Order: sequence, then C-alpha cells, then structure tokens
Amino acid sequence: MKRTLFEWFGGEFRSPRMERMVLSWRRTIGVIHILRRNRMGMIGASILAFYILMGILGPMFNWWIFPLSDPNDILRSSNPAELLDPPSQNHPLGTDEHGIDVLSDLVYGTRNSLIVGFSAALITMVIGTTVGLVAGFYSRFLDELLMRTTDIFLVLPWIPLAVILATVLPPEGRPSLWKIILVIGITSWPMTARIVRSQVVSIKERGFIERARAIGAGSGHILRRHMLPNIFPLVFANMILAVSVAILSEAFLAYFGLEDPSNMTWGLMLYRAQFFGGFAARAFWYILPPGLSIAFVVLGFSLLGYALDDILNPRLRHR
Amino acid sequence: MADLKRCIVVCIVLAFMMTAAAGSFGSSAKASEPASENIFRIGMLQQLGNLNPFSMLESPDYILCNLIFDCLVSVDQDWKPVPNLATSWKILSWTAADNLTTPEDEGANRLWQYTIRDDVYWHDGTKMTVEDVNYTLNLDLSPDPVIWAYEPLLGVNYFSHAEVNKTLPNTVDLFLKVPSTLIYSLTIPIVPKHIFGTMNASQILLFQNNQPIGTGPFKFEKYDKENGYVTLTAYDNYHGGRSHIDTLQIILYGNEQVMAEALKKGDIDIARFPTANTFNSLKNQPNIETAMARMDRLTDIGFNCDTGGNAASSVNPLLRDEKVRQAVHYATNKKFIIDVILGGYADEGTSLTVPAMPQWWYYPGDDKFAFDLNKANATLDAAGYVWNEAHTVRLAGPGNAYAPEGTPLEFELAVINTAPEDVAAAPYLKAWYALIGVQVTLAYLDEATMETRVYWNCDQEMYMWYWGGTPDPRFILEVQTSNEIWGWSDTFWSNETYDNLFGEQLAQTGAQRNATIQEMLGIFYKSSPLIIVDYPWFLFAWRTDTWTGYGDVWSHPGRSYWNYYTQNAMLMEIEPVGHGGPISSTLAVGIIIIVVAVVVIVAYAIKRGRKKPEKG
Repeated sequence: MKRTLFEWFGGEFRSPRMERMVLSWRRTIGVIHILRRNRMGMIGASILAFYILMGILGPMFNWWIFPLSDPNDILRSSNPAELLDPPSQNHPLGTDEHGIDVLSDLVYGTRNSLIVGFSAALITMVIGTTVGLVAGFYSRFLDELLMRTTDIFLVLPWIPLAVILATVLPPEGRPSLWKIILVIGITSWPMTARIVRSQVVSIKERGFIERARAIGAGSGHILRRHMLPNIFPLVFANMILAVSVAILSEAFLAYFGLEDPSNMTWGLMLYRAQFFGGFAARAFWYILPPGLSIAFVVLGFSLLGYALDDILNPRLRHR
Repeated sequence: MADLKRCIVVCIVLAFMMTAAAGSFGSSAKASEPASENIFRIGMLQQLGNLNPFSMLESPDYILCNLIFDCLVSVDQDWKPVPNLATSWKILSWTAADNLTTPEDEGANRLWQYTIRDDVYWHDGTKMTVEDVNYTLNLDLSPDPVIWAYEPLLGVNYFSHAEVNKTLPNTVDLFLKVPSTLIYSLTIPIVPKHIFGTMNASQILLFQNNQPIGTGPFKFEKYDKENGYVTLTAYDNYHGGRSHIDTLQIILYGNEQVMAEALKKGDIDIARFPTANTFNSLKNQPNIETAMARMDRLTDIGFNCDTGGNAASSVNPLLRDEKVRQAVHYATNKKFIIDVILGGYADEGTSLTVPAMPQWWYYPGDDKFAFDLNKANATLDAAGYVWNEAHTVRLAGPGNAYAPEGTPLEFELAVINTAPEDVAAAPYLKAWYALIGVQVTLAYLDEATMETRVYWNCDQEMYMWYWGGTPDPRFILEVQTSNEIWGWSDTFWSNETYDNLFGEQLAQTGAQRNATIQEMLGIFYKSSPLIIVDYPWFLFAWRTDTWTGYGDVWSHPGRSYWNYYTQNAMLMEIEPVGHGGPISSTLAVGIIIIVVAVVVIVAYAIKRGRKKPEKG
C-alpha cells in the first residue's frame, strides 16, 4: 500500500518524494545555520528583509506610522503648494515635482523595483539554465549552436540593445513594467547559460551519470533527477546576484525614460528628478533616497549572493 | 567563480557611473573649437533634422534656416514686416490688356509685385538675381508632387504663378487666383536656382542639403553629428551688415540639466530652458541673466476628428462628436497646468492666435470652456453618453450618430516623451478625464513617431503637441482648413463656414479682416478640434561675462534667436565683452582622470610589489 501510494505520486521505491522533501528541508535549515555564522551574508539578508517588508507592507503604513499618499492617485496626492519642498515635519523626505511626499514615492517604488528585480531574474534563470543544460548535455552540434547564440548575445552591447528593445516592443510608445522585465530578462541570460553549461559538462563526465545511463535512464530523467539538483545551488546563488543586476538595469532603463511614468520605481524617481529640473534645483531629498535604496539593495543581494555561493558551492565552503 | 561574479557586478556598477558621467562630460567635449575669435554658442535641446527649407519640421531646423537663408520679407524685433531681399512691394490690379500670360481672369488686388535687391551674393559667391526669386516662388507653387512646406503661405489654391517682370528691372510679379492684400506676409526663404534647379520637385523633397548655400547673415560651416554641434561663420558680404559674431555654434543637448550646467560653466552663452525649475535655478547665478518672452507658440491637445474617411479604422469615431470634444475641453484644467507645471510662465490658452500678437488674439468671453467637471458631465449626459455599470467609463447611447450603441469613450492620448511639461501634465489630464467618464491611455512618443502617426497614418486619437505660427495669422488659420487635410492639418477637421471665411479674409484689410478672423477663431474654439491649453513663455538664460547687448526680449519678442522669419536682431547686435575664459573644462576633466588613473596604477603596483615576496 505504502509503495503504491509513492508510485502514485510518481516516486520510486528507493527515493520516495517525501523522503527527498524532508532531505531538502533539512538541507535548507542547514544552509540557514551556516548563513547565520556568515556575517556578510546576514547583513545582506537583513537589508533585503527590510526592503522586502517595506515593499509588501509599505502602502499599509498609511494607517499606522506615517500618512503616505498613493503617487498613482495624482489628483488626491499632489499638492501644488508644496512643489519640490525640502524635508519638513510633514514630509520627512521632502516633496517631488507634483508636491507628493518623496517617502510615499519611495515606499510605492520599492514594491515595483523589487517585482522587476525578481521577475527579470527569474526569466534570466529560466532561459539561462535551459540553454546551459541543453547545450552542455546534448550533442556537439546543439552545443555549438546554442553557445554561439549565447556568444552573440554576450558581445552585443546590452545597454543599447535593451534601450532599443524597450522602444520597439509593441504597443509602441506605451511603456510598461512587464516590457522592462522582459527586456532585462532577454538581455541578461547569457552569463548564466555559460556558467550552467560549464558545470553540466563537468557533471556529465562523472560516474553516477554513466551508471544511470547504464541502467537505462533516459536523457530527460538524467537532466531532471541528476543534473538539475546538482546545478541548482549554483543557479540559485546566481539568481540572487541576477536580481541585483536586474534592479540596477531597471534603474538604467527608467533613467533613460523608457519606463511607464505611472508605475513608480526607484529608477523612475531618479529619471523624474532630472527630467523636471530636480538636479538643477539641487533637490538632494529627491535624488538621494532612491539612489541610496538602489545601492543598498544591490549591495544586499550581492552580499547574500556571495555568501550563498560560498555555502552552496562545496569547493568554496569554509569548514 | 565568485571572483568572476564580483568582477561582473563591479563592472556593471562602473558602467552605470560612467554612463551617468558621460552625459556631463559630453557637453564639455562638444564645445572644443579654438577660442581665438568671437564665438557665440547657443545650447539647444531638440535634435537637428535637415537643412532643406522644403522638408524641415523641427524648430532647430527653422532657426538655422533663418540664419542661413533670407526671406523676401522679414519681420523686425516687434514682428512688423520689414524689407529683406525685397526692397519694396505693391499690390496691383491687372487686365488682360497688360499682356501678361494667362491667369484665369482679371481683377483687382490680384498681382503682387516685389522689387528685389541687386547687391546680394550667395555664400558661394554667385550673384543672387531676380531669377532665383522667380524660381523659388514657382517651386513653392509646384503642383505635383506638392512642395508642402510653404503651402499655407503660398498655396496653389490661391496663387497662380510668378514671372520676372519684363519691363521693370529686378522685379518679380506674382499672380493670384483670388484677390488678396496680404502681400507683406510672404515670409518664405529664397533658395539658389543654380543648386536646386538641377533637381525636380520629388528630388527636392528628398534632398538633404548638407551644405546649404543661402544669402543669410551666417554661412554654414559644418554639422558634427557625432559630437552634436553645428558651426556657422559670419558672412562678410551680408547685405544687412556683418554680425559681431565670427563663429556661431549651435550645440545640441539631450538633457536640460546638462545644458544648465554647461551654461553655468560657460560652455554655452545662451539657451532656452523648457522647465520652470531649471529656469528658476539659474536666476541668481553669477554672470547669468534670465529673460522671458511671450512667443507665437501654443500648446494644444488635439483630436483626430476626421469625417472624410481618412482616419485609420482603429480610431474611435466618437472623437468626431463635437460634444465629446467640448466635454473634454471643460475637463481640462488649464490654469492648474500653468500654475503648477509651467511655474506660472504661460498665458491661458483660448484659440489659434496668440496673446503676444494682441491685434489677432481671440478671447471667448462668456462662452469660455472654463474648467468645470459638472458642465463636462452635463454635456455628455445631454449628448446621450451613459455611464457603464461599474461607473468607470461612459458609453455611446442609442442612436449615436458616430458609433454603435455601447462604444466606450476610450482614447489613446500621446505626448512627446522629450517634453517635460507635457509628460508632467499627462497624468493629470488622464485623472480629470476619468472623472467625466472618458478613459485615456497614455502613450509617450518621440517626435518622429508622433509625426508619422498624426500626419501619415492618421491613427493617433488624441495628442499633446505644439504649434508655432507666422507673424500674420494666415498660416495658422489655413492649417486648419480642409485644404490642408493630408497637408499641414493635424486634426483632419473640416468646417465649411470656416473654409469660406478663410477665403474671405484674404481679400480684406483692417478691422473688416479682423472681424472675419475673430469669427473663424470663434467657430474653431467652439468645435474644439484642438484644445489650446496654454501659450508658454520662452525662458532664456544667457551669460553676461562673454557677450553684451542681448536687449529686452520681453518687450521685443522678435529679437530672440528663437524666431523663424526675423532679422535676427539679437544675433546681429550683441557684442563680445572680452577674451580669455576659465580653463577649459575638457582639459580639467582630462587631468582629473589621468591623475586618478596614475594613483590607481601606482597603488596597485605597490600592493603587488609587497605581496610577491610573501608568496615566494
């Protein structure tokens, strides 16, 4: 009975799915334990926790800590009497060119910036991992084809490429958050693909793959059951780093004016600060908060990424 | 592996910083001509299109054109007509007995006669003759393909042809199909026959004119596309006297802030700034003076109100309903836009003529579409537009004359993405219109895409753009006639009464003409194919330590360089203050970079040198 139930879940007798889940849970706990001892990693994680909480809960601070106003509800939030005002008691971070509280912009922008960061990193990872796996595992011809494609994407200067893509993707002239996510995802996968491929090539030569083949395992099975779990730690650490790159890229594209002006992000704040004369007016309260936030979040992701890399990559792990 | 990633992240951060910095370095790198002579540098935000007077579209093109070419008639610093290439002009009647060739019928006020200067030479040394003028006038009248550039001023509907007068020296006759007295309004640049004459009309429309030859006060030297600046030199033989400026540079910037910094540093001498924040920040800077000018410029929200079947099928036909446009007009808070977004530097918009030329300006009085959401909603209620169940948008009611019942009032509103004032206004417009049940989607387009959509595809539903006119309102009035559909008309609007009145005013003078024009403007205002939002003032800032004598552009708006048909009073009159500026900023940046690089290399070398023995 027990055996058929596992089989019904698609499991095998020797490595039931349940057992594997427990194992991976224990492994995760183990990673967290090691991470707790890694000071850099913990600093990164704390910075991120702060910003993620701000992104999720931020708009709710409306009621309890500070009266925030939704920058998208422009008629209610804007205040013509307080355009580009320096920090004051009512507006601890000053106001923007519409008279909207910069703190509100920042809090509402956090959510969108993080959404862009995570979504674009996910696309990067999916494309990069798929290309890397297939190229490393299958025939020489496919490998050559995919890797040369990757090379083309690598040598293309990505800033102009991203700018052009963001401009020409339909519907023309209507920037949106999803367009930006897609553009960053499409332009930043090649490095991941290369890293994954090199790992796959090395794993492919190991004994246990050969043994799996010997007992008749198909390519799909080997990829799913043996390759993916082995490269997953690497992919995960890489994704954390990719998030920071994506957030930086978003700031870039928004600064070039390629982002939907009605979806507040940190990059958009910087863009608007310079577009509407904030730099000339020396409105530091408008420029520093988004700028520092970008810097801190990128730093947070990088610290966490390196720490995870150290932990998950056995060769780098300090015992 | 970790090192590699660290490297990547560091590289990206560096790239980010360098790109940001490139913007500011770029500006100083641009203006690197020798400072031995009197250079006057103008900063400009828009990009340059081309220098063919027959296919120009952007403001910088027209400004340059006015420096390189001369018009038959120009205007002075108060926009009053003054002689330029034509020394005098008169209106004649003619009869078939005058032995002139074949205009359709004879009559009064149907022959314009211009006497042309005899002492003018083209920049390449060739003498300019009455033949050049005759050639240009006939070229503007060429029917196929239509040379559209000056059609509102010299269109085939009202003009027949030009001829060199056989008896009077240096005289050209222009024959009209209808009587008109507006002889002073022919502000069109005259081009050299020996260059343009070798091409046919279609070739001329495509001609790039990369080395334009004119008779104007400045000779074209070069356009450095890579670094984004244009160099002109003074034309020694200019018939109006030589300018004190030896070299005139127009430096193109992509960013207003960078341009403001360039002015502060002294990389440019004068510029026009579109945002109030930047302008205000320059007010109390050392050696910088600011000035405002009310110009012949208006900001509008346009509707695609084509009724002739030209519009693309994707365009919502409800825009053809005058009531919808009027409701949107009521829901546009012009005063708010002026006070909040333009910093108060504008006049409230009413109609096509501008308050800077008060003799033509139109004020609607009691019929004014003042901001009133109740009136807007009432207008739509009366026209049968009902809210949908969710109360988010209004739908066309039964028996709507323009679209089937249930068609929502949903439009796309496009703004130019490089115009800060329009981009800032767009979310407010969207929010106000939503309150009356008109849902707009915002699109942010570059100017070229906007042109394609509005003019060539006729598929842009609503757009925020601008118009600039000529000293005589004839141009801007003709633009909205049905003659100009597929020509200059952006709205594709047509109104028979308006068209007829346009024909009438051509032959009228003085108060009579003004009354006709006021009637036309009233019709236009009521129908609202364009909502004139505001008449923005031009905000200039210039350096007082390099040049002097800029004059009073507030009292004499025709002085400034940002004019298309003037005698360029400012550029002809300013005088240099003295030589020798501060150390070139390019050099300074270069030195800093080199110093930093040396320090880094030395530090690295020391570090390496220390490490080696430890390892060994």
